[in-house]
Amino acid sequence: MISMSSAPISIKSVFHEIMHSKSGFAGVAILIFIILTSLIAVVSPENIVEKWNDPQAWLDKPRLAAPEWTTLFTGGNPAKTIIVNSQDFKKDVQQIQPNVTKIELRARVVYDYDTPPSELNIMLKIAGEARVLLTIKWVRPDGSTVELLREVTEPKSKTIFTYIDREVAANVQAYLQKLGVADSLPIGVTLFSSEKSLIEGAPKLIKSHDVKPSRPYELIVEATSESKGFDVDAQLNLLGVVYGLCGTDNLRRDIFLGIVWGAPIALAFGLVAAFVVTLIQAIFGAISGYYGSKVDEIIQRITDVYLVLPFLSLLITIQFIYKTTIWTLLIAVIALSLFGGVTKSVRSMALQIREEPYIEAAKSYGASRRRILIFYILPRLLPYTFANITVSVPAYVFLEASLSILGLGDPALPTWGKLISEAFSGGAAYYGYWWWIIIPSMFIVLVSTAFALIWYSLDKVLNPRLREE
Amino acid sequence: MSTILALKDLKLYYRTRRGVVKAVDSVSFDLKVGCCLSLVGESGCGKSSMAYAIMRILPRNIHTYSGEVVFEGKNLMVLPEGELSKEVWLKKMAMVFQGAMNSLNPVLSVGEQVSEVFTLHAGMSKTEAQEKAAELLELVRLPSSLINKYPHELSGGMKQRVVIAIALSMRPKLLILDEPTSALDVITQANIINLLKKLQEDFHLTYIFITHDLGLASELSDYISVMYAGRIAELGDARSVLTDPKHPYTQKLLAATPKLFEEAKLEFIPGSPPDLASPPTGCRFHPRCPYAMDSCKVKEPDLIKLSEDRYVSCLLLERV
Repeated sequence: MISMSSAPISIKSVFHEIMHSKSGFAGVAILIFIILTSLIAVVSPENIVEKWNDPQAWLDKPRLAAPEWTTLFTGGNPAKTIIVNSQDFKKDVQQIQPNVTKIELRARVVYDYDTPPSELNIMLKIAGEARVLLTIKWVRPDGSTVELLREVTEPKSKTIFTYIDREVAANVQAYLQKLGVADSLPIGVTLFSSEKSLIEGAPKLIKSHDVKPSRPYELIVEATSESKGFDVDAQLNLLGVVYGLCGTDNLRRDIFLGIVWGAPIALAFGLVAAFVVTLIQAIFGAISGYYGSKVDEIIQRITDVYLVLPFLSLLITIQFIYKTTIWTLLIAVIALSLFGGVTKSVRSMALQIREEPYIEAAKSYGASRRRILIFYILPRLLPYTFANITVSVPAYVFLEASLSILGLGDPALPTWGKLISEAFSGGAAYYGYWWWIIIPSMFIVLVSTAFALIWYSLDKVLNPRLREE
Repeated sequence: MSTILALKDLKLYYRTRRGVVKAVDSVSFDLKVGCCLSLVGESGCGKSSMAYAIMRILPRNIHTYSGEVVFEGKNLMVLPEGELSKEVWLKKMAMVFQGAMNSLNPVLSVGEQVSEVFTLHAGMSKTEAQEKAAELLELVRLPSSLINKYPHELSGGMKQRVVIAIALSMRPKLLILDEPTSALDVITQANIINLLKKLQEDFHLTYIFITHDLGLASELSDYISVMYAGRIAELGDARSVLTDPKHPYTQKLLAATPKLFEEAKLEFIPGSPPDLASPPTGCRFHPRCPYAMDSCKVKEPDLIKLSEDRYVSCLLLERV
């Protein structure tokens, strides 16, 4: 008896086979991990996409901080970010004279890190009509005080970046001179070293628990004004030198959020492009192979033209002129790949299948050409087509990244490619901000690996010669 | 008995790189209702091409397709293609293809394939069609549980029965069987042949049975037509062709048939079947014929009528 060797046909059995090969299981596991990552973005109520390009939205994050877990390898206890919100300030309102109000705000921060924070920023919100006398003091655990600011200011909101503020720099310099320290020290070092060590000329960071009993650092904001409706609110940002799971970039943006929001975009772009392009090409290939003669000739010549089109150059031109969103870009990608390699290979398979006896039999039963194409030829081509979709997903994820690196990605959305592109323009490789490059790249590679592994096991299913016994 | 199918000067030539291949060359015969005609001959003598020419299922590389195929009074050759596929195929005449084991769509279940015919041609609903399909399977003595199986789960004989079932689904009058049993073992062959006999009786079918097995031909057929190089060499009722062959080719063919318990050495016909792209002049059998005369190389023999239903194409008999 002659029996046809036949691959498992149902989707269920194909999935079963994939899950039972090691590579397939690994691929599916990675893919599920990435899908879960992108689910965070999908279900999150926060609109990161709008926030992403707004520099004001990221002031509470340190700039260019490495991921927190790097301390596992480097050791020590580098500064993490501490935010003291306005409601955590102790507010004390005093009526000094009948029409003069003094508001005192105190924030206490227990600080036990090995390094000073990368930035110490004070955000002030001053309400009122008249000018305000503002005094800001910094008290260390050893009890010594540094006056950061004493000025008369308009009632408005402002952020004092103490490390780069000129007034603060002058005050701190004056303080150091008073102590008799000749060198000009960085403000961070000055503020977080004990007064004793400064005088000795060997600045040593003082922690809250270095003194007995332990004492926090303290920020005191005093504001005095005659104004009606006078009020002051403050927020203290002590920004760390490490941050989060994936660190931050030069605009203080959390790279983790970029990764999470980039995941659904990368998956959607890759999957949709691969699925639509491969399917369209396969259908054209099947039509070309089955109908033959003039139809075949026309489709094949169009395919030849498409194959020599400079794909990337055309995309770059389109993107350069129109600065389109990623979804318009997707349509451009599909339009430029209606015909291609899959058309050629599926055509050759269709040529073979159309000569099989069951096609002839179907014809003699009166089946129409369209029916034969859809029910008799296309199902035989599907396994190949699906295997092809899995290999081409990474290609399209890479394409999006490449275009972004060339500065031609979506102008608004955070994508993995855009993260790498910004790392490139931010000199990450030169300055050694490795997390900014490695982490997005790793995710792109991860997606490719996942689909490559799944394809590897699919190949074993669809290609019985490779099947393991 | 009335004539169901009449061929007149049927020609089917293929265009190939080597030139024009004359697969069917000027064939004429009449077939009566309820009879079985066997087409026998060596491989490549044009038996299958004849089936395609009658059905008008033609490959792409056709050079000439001419003559008349009159089926129930209509010339199929001039029928519009739509009418052919809607009214004739499957409803009036159907074909069981060579290597029927590969005639099933591997990605559709048996039930889907059998019922497909009913939904397409009879406009039945899916459930009705499924019931009909089950009935049909019982008709060819298959369990109706096969409906959910895929072709690769069936044995060769089962697949053959499914294909016959599909061919019979619309109750055609003429069934063309193109080597329906050639890949099966003898027991299965016998089963299928008995089934075909039974079906012929039950539905009053007319068969054209294409085979290279003279034993099977004698079992099933009323008439036998021996073909050589695209032409009919001898045509007559089965008994007289097999017991009293007139054409030298038929004689040689019968001598080459193996018999049980016979010590005699099997004969064979020297030489090989002619190349149909450039057939020999005159009688096409003359290079291999032991009785060839000079005139055989020049003159093409006509099909001469020896008696009622008995035709031979040989110059030897023409002289008589």
